[in-house]
Amino acid sequence: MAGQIIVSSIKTDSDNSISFVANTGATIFSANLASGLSASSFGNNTITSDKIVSVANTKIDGNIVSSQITSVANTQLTGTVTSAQVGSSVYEGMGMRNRIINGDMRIDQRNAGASSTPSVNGTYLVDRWQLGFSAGLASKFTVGQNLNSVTPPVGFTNYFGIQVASTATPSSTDNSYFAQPIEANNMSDLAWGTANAKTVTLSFQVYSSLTGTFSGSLFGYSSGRSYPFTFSIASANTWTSISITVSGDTSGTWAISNSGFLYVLFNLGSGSSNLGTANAWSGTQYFGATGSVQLVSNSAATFYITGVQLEVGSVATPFERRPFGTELALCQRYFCKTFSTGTAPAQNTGYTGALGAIAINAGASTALWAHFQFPSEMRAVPTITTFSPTAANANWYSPAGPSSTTSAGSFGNSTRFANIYNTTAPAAGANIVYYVQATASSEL
Amino acid sequence: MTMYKLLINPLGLVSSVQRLSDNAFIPFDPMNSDYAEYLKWLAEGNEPLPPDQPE
Repeated sequence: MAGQIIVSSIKTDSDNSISFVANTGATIFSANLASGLSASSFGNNTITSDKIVSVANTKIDGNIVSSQITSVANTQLTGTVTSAQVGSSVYEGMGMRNRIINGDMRIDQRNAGASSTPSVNGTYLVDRWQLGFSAGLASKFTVGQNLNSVTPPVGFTNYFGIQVASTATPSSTDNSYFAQPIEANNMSDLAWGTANAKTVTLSFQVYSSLTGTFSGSLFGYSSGRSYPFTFSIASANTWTSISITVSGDTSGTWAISNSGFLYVLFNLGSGSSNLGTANAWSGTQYFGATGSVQLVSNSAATFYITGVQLEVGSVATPFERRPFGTELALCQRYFCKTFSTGTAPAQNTGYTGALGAIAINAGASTALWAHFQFPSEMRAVPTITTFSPTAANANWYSPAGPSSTTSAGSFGNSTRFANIYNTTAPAAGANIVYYVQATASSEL
Repeated sequence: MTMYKLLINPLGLVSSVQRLSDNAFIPFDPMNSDYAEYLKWLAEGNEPLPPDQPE
């Protein structure tokens, strides 16, 4: 029966409830008008956004998907927002989450882009990254920033390149790796060694002439602990994005100081004694995982890497972009120099940036002194190395001609400055300025 | 083998050691990794060269 009833008011029953019943007998709307409407009022049907207009302080419980939120000013979300629920563009505004310094390999104070074949274990390469090896694997790798000039991944201008210079089969106790040691002061919030140990995620981009399962390790600096991990490269000579999530270590004693905390380490070829089970913390210090690719055993094999990031949490966020000056300052806590940024420290590279001192008198009665102020507070009192501006020795030199007869020295140093001196004064040249170059290293 | 030489500062005190391979001046700071390497070298039974005496 069609029709309508027109009334001026409807009075509810004793509890202020009201309901409408369909011709099937089912309730299609019911509500307690004193306490408000709920989802059940509408038979759990959805209220679309065009049905809600200009309602202040509306509270909505349950999941809201992104397509249901449009152009709402001053929207406030309460509760926990997990990383998986936040778009990548948001992370790009969150700074200093990457515990790796120079993860994009763009700062190279020591070599200025030149390649080398290191023979000394622990040689530092691009800033903060080192090549390590046991004696049996010395001089097996040619390394350098942007080695062999492959195209970096999108968004990067630099990578670090490693190529096998001569092959070897590692003995059981051999090891070789590319790694960055991280200072414990920058990791103490991880609470490792406690029940509250935080999860971290390591991400990077890698490119190799080989395919297969590669490995690396989170290698405790002094805790005696390690976490071997693996990663797969399916296509040769193709940049591949890798993400590895590691539950924090609840065991061991992890330093909280200006000492080292751990190495983020990529295995280049290690013996069976140095390889362990992947994806588990161990009380043995493993350099990688059993059965993984041994780069050093493959003639001319290449391994390129960039965009290395280690962050708290279980999600790999986009690589954190930091200003060049900020990244350089972070590097200078561990290594700095009087040379220009783009000049590799060496003897006989000129006067630019050199420290100067005036010899008041000529002869043995006058000492030369210069003050080397570091651009950043260094991690520890650094090792000082001096370089002559114009000769293949470490002596002071003057553009006017005279030089000191012995190398410059250094004493009375701190984490903020060094004194560069020479107690054996130049044999000639009163009131002449002498110069010397220097580097300071407090690497881990 | 890396060789070292003790150094006397202008105050007459032995306060650092020189690594002769690269003329590096290593402070006696326990947090300096080069100094740690020097101590390891000493523990292996090696001895540094004596310092030059002030003139």
